[in-house]
Amino acid sequence: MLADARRVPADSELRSDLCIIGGGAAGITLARALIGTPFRVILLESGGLELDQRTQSLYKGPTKGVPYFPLDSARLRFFGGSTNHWGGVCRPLDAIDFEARDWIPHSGWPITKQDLDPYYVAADEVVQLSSDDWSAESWDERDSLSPLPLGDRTESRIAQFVRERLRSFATNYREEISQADNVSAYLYANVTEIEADDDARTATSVRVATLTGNRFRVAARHFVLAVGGIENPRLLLASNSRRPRGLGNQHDLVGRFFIEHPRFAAAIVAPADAELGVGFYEPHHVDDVEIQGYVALSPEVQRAERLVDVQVFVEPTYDPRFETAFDSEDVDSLRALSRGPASVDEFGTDLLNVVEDLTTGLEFTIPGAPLPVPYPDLVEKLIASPTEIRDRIPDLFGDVAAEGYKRINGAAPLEHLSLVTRLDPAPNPDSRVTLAASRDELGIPRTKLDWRLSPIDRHSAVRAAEIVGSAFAGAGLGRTRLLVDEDQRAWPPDLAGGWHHMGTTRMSDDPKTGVVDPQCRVHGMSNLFVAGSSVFPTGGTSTPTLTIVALTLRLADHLQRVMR
Amino acid sequence: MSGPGRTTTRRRFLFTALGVGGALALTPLKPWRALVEISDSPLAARLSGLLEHDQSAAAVGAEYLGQLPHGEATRTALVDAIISGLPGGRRAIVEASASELRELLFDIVRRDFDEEVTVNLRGWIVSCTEARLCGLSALEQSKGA
Repeated sequence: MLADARRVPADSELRSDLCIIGGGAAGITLARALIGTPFRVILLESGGLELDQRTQSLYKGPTKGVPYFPLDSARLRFFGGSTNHWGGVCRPLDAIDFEARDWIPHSGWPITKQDLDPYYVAADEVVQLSSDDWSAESWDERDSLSPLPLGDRTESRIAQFVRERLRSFATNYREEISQADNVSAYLYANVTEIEADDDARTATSVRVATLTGNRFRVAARHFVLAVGGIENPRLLLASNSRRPRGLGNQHDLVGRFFIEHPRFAAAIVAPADAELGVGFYEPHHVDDVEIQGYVALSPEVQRAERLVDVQVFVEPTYDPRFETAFDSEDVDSLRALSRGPASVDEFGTDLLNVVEDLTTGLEFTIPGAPLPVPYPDLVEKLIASPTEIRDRIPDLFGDVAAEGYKRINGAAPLEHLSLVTRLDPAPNPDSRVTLAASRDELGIPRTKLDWRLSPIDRHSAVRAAEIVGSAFAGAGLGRTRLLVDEDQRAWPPDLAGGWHHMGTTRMSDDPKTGVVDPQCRVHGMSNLFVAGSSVFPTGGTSTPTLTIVALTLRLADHLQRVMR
Repeated sequence: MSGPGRTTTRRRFLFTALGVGGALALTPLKPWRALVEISDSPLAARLSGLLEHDQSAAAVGAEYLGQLPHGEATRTALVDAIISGLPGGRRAIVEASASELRELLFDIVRRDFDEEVTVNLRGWIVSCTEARLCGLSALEQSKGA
């Protein structure tokens, strides 16, 4: 059943076996997993079925530390949660991501990849992936595009994309939930506090408020907090009627260890061959499945060099003349395209001249590089495209030209490649979510985010760029200029997160080092659980949604056992 | 001179280099005498002469030399460092054709990258062998200036 919290009788108390706070990927997955069970489930969602700015503004809050997105734009507060702007990228965490690595303080999950593997298989179905194959080698057998031969210190990995129309959990599962006899999902229901018994060991009810002024309670045998990596700690900290520091915060851990996936260009590569095929590293289809390849440091290199996990995206920038290819004069420019990458600085030009001198007369075989095909073929074919394309999307013509050229010839002339690193940053206790002095419209203290990174993160990015850059040069594929170095104080200006909020209620066997136990139960509380990426002790480099769903399915199994 | 259409000569040259090394090993004369008889100066000229973009090589080389500790930015030190990884040693530099020498150096450069024997020059990752060659070129040009 889908219900409207604004119409619940004021000051009433609803009762259920399980109260799920939050209707995003975790909350919806959990509710679905319990459909048809004997348990009565109430799901409370702050928003409605569409984006509403007034509701969204409940997310506002100050940030400091590493520059971050405005907090009210980094997540979505309506049914489906952030799956409503999800990019659909999926990949499980790797085995090493779960390990305690002595060079990464506070690393290590209390569960292993093997513990989660069965739930990953089930999660593939929930997010509607077409394949549960995550082996780059396996995909390579079917993929017409190949990874570059970047030596044995790196490895290729692939991520899969969920089809765009299938990404919103609200769209996918709204009907199923509304038809469920034992699940009641209340929209416009903002939880303002989790209430507990006198010794704060058992959650008893939650206070609910709507922006229209209605207020009521929901009592339940068990509660699951599933409102995301920033709101989960916020609600625990703000639920301070029994404990001044908030629920589950006896060791001052709630909100600490905030993890995001910092992503920035760590280097550029001037390709040896402007038509080097790098399509494997762009989203592309294999057997009707959209995948994207990327480069990673092998676990052996991570261990030997004591690095955090780093993904390296090989992002092509095509010749800028594609962007002006619409004008006829620029067609001539395209024909006269030279191979000198414009992004290379003067010193780099000198270096490339030296490389040319040293390799004159030598023959190279570059795997994946197509035979050069002259531009005019492309241009004539593209100019012959339907006129409406030229009339309606001239601004996109550059992309169309580049894409068309690639389809005809297998690759388009590159201006340069960017080596974009995405890190699994070391857990940092000073990177944290706290309560701000200001309050939102419902009277709850706003969140304050202080995102911090650590020296090992910068070192790992530099080393990854050096290792991958050397691999490019060693294979004769191109020369690399680093954009970051160990001595920089500031982070690169293009550093951005991925809207991945993790770590703030981290999982641990020990209450002194974690907020929840391996079953996602809040330490010291009998019936309060947390779902979502806030329980990740480390983030890996994979996008978190698939792991959120897998962990939630695991939690659903556990709850079914304990609620019997 | 090599040309674009020339086929790979690596194997042939490696046979040559191994042959030279083998002959030196078997000769009853003291082989090091033959080596020291080849002075650094022509070797440096030969190596730096491979770099036809001499201004570019000088620019890269100057940057590299500026990073070296005092006393290591010398022709002798650079030649020795390059030769230490070169099959056939000094004699190979003298006897190999330009294309054979490029090919041999390219193998060393590739090995440099595989083993990360590299140097960061204004952000660019450069093999140490490349950097030494450029350093030689810079020294040669400063000598002529």
